[in-house]
Amino acid sequence: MNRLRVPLNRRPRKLRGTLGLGSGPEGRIERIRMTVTQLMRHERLEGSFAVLDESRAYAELLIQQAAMHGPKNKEVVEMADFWLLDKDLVHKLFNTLVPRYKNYSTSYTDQYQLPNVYPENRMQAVLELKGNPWPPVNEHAVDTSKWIHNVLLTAARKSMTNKTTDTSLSDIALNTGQTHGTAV
Amino acid sequence: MALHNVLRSFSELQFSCTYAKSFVRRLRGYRYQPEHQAVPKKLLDQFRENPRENVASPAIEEYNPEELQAARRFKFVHPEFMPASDPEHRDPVRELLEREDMMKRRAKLDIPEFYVGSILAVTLSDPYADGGESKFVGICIERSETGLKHNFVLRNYIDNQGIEIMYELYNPTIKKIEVIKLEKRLDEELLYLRDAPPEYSEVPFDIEAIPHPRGAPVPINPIKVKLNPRPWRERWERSNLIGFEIMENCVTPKMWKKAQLKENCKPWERYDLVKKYRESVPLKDQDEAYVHFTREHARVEKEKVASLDRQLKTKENDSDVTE
Repeated sequence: MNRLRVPLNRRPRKLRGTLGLGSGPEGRIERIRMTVTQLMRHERLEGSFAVLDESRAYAELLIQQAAMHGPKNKEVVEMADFWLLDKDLVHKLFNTLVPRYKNYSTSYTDQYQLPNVYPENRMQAVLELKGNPWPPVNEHAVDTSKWIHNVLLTAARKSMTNKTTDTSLSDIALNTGQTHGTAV
Repeated sequence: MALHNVLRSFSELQFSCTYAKSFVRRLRGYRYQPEHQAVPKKLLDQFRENPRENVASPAIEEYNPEELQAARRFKFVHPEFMPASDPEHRDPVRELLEREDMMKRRAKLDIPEFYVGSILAVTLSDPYADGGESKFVGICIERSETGLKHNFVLRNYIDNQGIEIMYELYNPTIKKIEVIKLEKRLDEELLYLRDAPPEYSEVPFDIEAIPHPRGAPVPINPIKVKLNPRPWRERWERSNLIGFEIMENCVTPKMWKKAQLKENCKPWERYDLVKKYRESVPLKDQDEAYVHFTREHARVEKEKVASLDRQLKTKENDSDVTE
């Protein structure tokens, strides 16, 4: 297995009683199976932070293994068959998602933390597959490119690229146009 | 740190979060916060006088596929070079230094290929023994730990007494490690020999070594050990090991029933991808360790041959002089 591109807790969460009292470790796996299936189906989920964060690593590894070994590997197909409760999603995994993430050097999923809602104060989150058809999650993001710091930074970058002919610097110059996308 | 250095490294650096993330901001519509994205340690290291991360692999190297294939074969032959799976016990610098120390030891001592189930003879330097050394022969029942700490346990049955000695493979007092019979067993560990009759672990000290043809596959001994009646040191009826047989009427039906309970079989662990990930080492790190090993191994073997040649030549010269 290759290294995961998302942070992973050292120990698993137990997700106690997630499918009723005493569901145990079996219930934990069952809950994650349902979540991974729904994630592959709808490409974006909203729910409990713990469950989504736990399922995220499973989804990442499933896509990673499918991309690494392909549909001819017996073990990987068996794995996909177990984790995806709807069998049409196995085809989606190999035919849609693997080609989509072929050139990705980052993680395949994104996770956003939602604000707590009084009085429950449960940690809520949004988990999504990258490249999904839905509108972006942080659509209210502020355009920070006109902030004085950023204007100065882009100007500094420009003056740097004019001075040198380094290829890595010219890459930076290309990137300056895209900085808006990373705003918090 | 000069500005151009910052710009070169953080190509997408933007000031965007100078305010407190208060609920007032949320009321205004900034409801979602993206996940925490820390600055990569690799980038920070460029500005440190003593880089801390990724010192062992400063540059991402593309290995030659043939070399990689050869290196991956060594994973099962020399398991001590596999890094620890627990990330808390990982340290790329320490691993590199340990590998170098291990290769230095391998240049002095012939450490052969062996597996759990092989019969070994180990000669240890011992000032209190006759002749200054002690020899022990036995069957290898366990190999554990990684790196310089790697050890193996030899078991024998001497004078109506089961004897086990744990040797550290890179212990400098070891003089000689000899493989008497190279073979594998059905299991990765043979700790159940402790609960088996003595004939399964009895090895005579004057046994002659059975030569193993070079390049031939290592045979697997399909012997099934018949365990003693209970009491045992472990509940063997609950284990997944296949190299032993349990005598009839030794385990009660109630115990068999308990062994087949879900809590003991844990069938859900079979498809637990993340559990497997946590127990394994990332492929890139494995490759790095074993490619390093193969290169060093080739160099050490070459030096050994060269030193032998030199010794032979000096002997010839000496004999010429005497004639």
